[in-house]
Amino acid sequence: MVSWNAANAHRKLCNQREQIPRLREGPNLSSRLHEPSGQTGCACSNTLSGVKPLYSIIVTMEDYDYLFKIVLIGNAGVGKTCLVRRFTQGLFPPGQGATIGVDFMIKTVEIKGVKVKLQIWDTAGQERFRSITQSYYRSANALILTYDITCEDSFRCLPEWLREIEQYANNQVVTILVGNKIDLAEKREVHRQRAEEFAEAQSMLYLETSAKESDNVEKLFLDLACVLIREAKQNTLDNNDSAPMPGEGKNINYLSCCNIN
Amino acid sequence: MAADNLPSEFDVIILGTGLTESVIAAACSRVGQRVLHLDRRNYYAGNWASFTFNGLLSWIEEYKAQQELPSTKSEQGWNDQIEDEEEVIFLSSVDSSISNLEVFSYASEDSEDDEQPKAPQMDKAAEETNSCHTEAQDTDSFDSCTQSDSDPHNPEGNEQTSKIQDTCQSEEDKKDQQPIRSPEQPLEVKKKITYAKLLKEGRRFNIDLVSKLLYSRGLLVDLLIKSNVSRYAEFKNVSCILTYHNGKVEQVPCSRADVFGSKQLTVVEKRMLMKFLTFCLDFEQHQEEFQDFTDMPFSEFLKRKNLTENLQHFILHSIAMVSQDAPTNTGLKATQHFLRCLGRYGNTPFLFPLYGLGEIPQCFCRMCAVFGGIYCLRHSVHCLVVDKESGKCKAVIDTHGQRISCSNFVVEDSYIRDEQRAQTTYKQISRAVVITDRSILPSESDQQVLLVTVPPLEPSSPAVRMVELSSSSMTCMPGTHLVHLTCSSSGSAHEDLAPVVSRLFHVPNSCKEECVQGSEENEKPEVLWVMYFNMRDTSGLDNSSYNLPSNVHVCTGPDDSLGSDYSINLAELVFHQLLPDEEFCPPAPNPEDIIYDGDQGEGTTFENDAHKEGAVIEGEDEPQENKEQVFSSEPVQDSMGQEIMTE
Repeated sequence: MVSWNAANAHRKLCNQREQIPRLREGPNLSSRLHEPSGQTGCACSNTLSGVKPLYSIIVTMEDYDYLFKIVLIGNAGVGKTCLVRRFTQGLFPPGQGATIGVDFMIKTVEIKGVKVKLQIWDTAGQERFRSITQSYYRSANALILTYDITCEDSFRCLPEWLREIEQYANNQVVTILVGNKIDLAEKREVHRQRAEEFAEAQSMLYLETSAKESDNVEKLFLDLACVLIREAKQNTLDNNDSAPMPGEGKNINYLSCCNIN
Repeated sequence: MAADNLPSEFDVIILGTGLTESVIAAACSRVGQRVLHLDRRNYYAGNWASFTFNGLLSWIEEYKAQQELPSTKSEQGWNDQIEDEEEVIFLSSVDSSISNLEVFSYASEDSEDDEQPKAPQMDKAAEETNSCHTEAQDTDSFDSCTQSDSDPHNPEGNEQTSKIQDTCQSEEDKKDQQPIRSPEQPLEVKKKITYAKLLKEGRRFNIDLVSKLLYSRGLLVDLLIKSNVSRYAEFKNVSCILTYHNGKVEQVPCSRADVFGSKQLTVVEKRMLMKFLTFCLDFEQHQEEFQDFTDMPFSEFLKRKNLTENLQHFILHSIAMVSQDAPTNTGLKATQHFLRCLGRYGNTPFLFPLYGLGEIPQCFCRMCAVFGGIYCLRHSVHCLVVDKESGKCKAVIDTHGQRISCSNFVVEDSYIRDEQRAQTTYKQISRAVVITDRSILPSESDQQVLLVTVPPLEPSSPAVRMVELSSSSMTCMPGTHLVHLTCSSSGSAHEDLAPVVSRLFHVPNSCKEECVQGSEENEKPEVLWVMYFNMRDTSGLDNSSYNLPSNVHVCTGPDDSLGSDYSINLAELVFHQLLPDEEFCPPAPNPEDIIYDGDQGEGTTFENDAHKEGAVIEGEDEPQENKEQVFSSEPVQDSMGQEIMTE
């Protein structure tokens, strides 16, 4: 069902890593805002050796080993919000409007004993007139680029989205292309093979989903979490100071915790 | 990316996405107003924007193109939408807030030696280091000052100065060895940065048009925390405050640790400085100390307090950061503000947003959008529709000819035509953006963010503020530093700032052959690329400066001060004019506290959000405060004696 070339994705990550500047300023800056103090990648790398994931989901847990920011992009109306809500709440709200006041949604999952908190950000409607803020892309660990398989136009816009990613996202970001609405197979306008080829050419992962039927939605986020864990683990091995990328800065609320110089 | 039509009715239409407008947008949207937020540019934040290097080059091209044809073509097709009892006010379609833009590139144009190390290319390197300088005289004195100024009382020198001196020493020793590698430079061969490299790595730059820092207890930080907009941004501490003094760059002792650790200050000076700063922290309690000086300049007050010349310089230029003739009260207030901001997040009172200041307006825009605000870039307003009877703006005609009604209209100053202005002369801000090859402060870490104050070089020239950013602030590519210079204009940006640039940096120039004493030049960071421009400073204007309907609110542009208090105050003021009974930016709910109603998609409830957030911030703030608050009044006197004794 999935054209998920993990080896390929991994190679991509390794290549990118070489270009990333390493922070040399000391341990105080290495803890990322999302990570609970004292719980950096180091601790996890011991427990995580094999990479074959076993999925299981825990509903509410306050503690976690990793936190990843996942950002959704794509044309208006392709079902981005539905994907998030299906995954985080198990809902498919038909004909829903914008979700007022909700910045991102959270779901904590456990993958082979590692607790991963996924923070999933939606566009807040700014894609409607092509006015997404650059800051939306900053410090995202993964991007889900979504199109609607029943809408050729949403597929044709993908190169434009890729340009935005190239420009503003961290170059270590994991990108996955998602063709949504496979429940509307009879209305399909974008052939699967075409999308697969496009994704491969851009060294992206590819998956087709239905938020309505809940097809592949869980797989989408859990597979993404696996890739992100592997990446984080690899980063930890690569440099002992376990500086998580991207963004070595701090959320303003957390800045005061650290002991600067 | 669909070509949707805009809805035809809003409560508030906001034109311009600068900081003030964006804060107003977020505030209005947060309390349930229907907000349409537009900007004629294809990027956010207007004059507050940050650009990649290539983005900046496009911005420069746009500026040049606009200079050539400042035509205002009026579109028809909207006339039929205007009723008899209505009249129109046209908005300006060109932005004339930027002027005197000049760009100089010194990075090698060669693309071949992109990856070639500098050292093996002896010819080239020698040529570089030999390049002469128009101010050879100055640089001579610069060097000798550095030598002679080494304090005889403190032979070891403080960490920073000692390094500078070491370097000078070694320069002397190896004067005939070229190229010279200063000791703090990494031993690996330094790669030369070409123009092609700047372009190739252009996306690693985030170059701000406006250069400001966040006072850690300033209005902007308070607002970011209060509103929860802070979750969209990350920050870095400014690591160190420097000042240009006696012909060299010196570290300003501002925290208590700095004061006692300083080797530039004598024991007497340390005591004096601590005493003075302690007084400033709650100067209102000590009327008697300053009441005779209220009509006098702060600089005079400092003199009368018998502070040494060194200390007067530090306090006036780098702590209070006021001009020579600023009144005593202003100086004391500024010093107090600086001291109160110390230690909240780090060693200096300042924070800098990662990816540049241009992120901040965007963060507020995101907040606005999350609460239902509609965003549209590359889209402007052609004219306002004013009801003749009430004299109020009831709608706008956008640049696509669509009529959109609104109850209030908020607009950035640069969209206003001269006809609507009471006066058309403005203050100006002079700006320079410099890309250099190394930091002005040689140290182990080249990943610092520095603030450097440069007092007037000549009595008539302006005081200049300089912020040096490293690649760790995500504003420039590794191996380069991004330096922003800002001052209130007395001439063009080039006239105001070029002397400072050539004093503090090595500006390569054409006469490469003649000059031999390139060695001390080599000491200074080399300029790879520099841009000068003036930005209009409309911060002095208020409602009476414009002839506009009462429900049209003008947001003036960035001011020339270091903090953003001016813009935040203005945003709050406008917000309260629009919605007198609403709270300004109450905390947005934390997504983790939102409880979703199981069946209904729309039914979301926020649980106790305000309280929870507040508690978290307080909790984290307090311990730090106790630990780091440097000039907390009571214990200082006692422990000061001890510290001095132990030295």
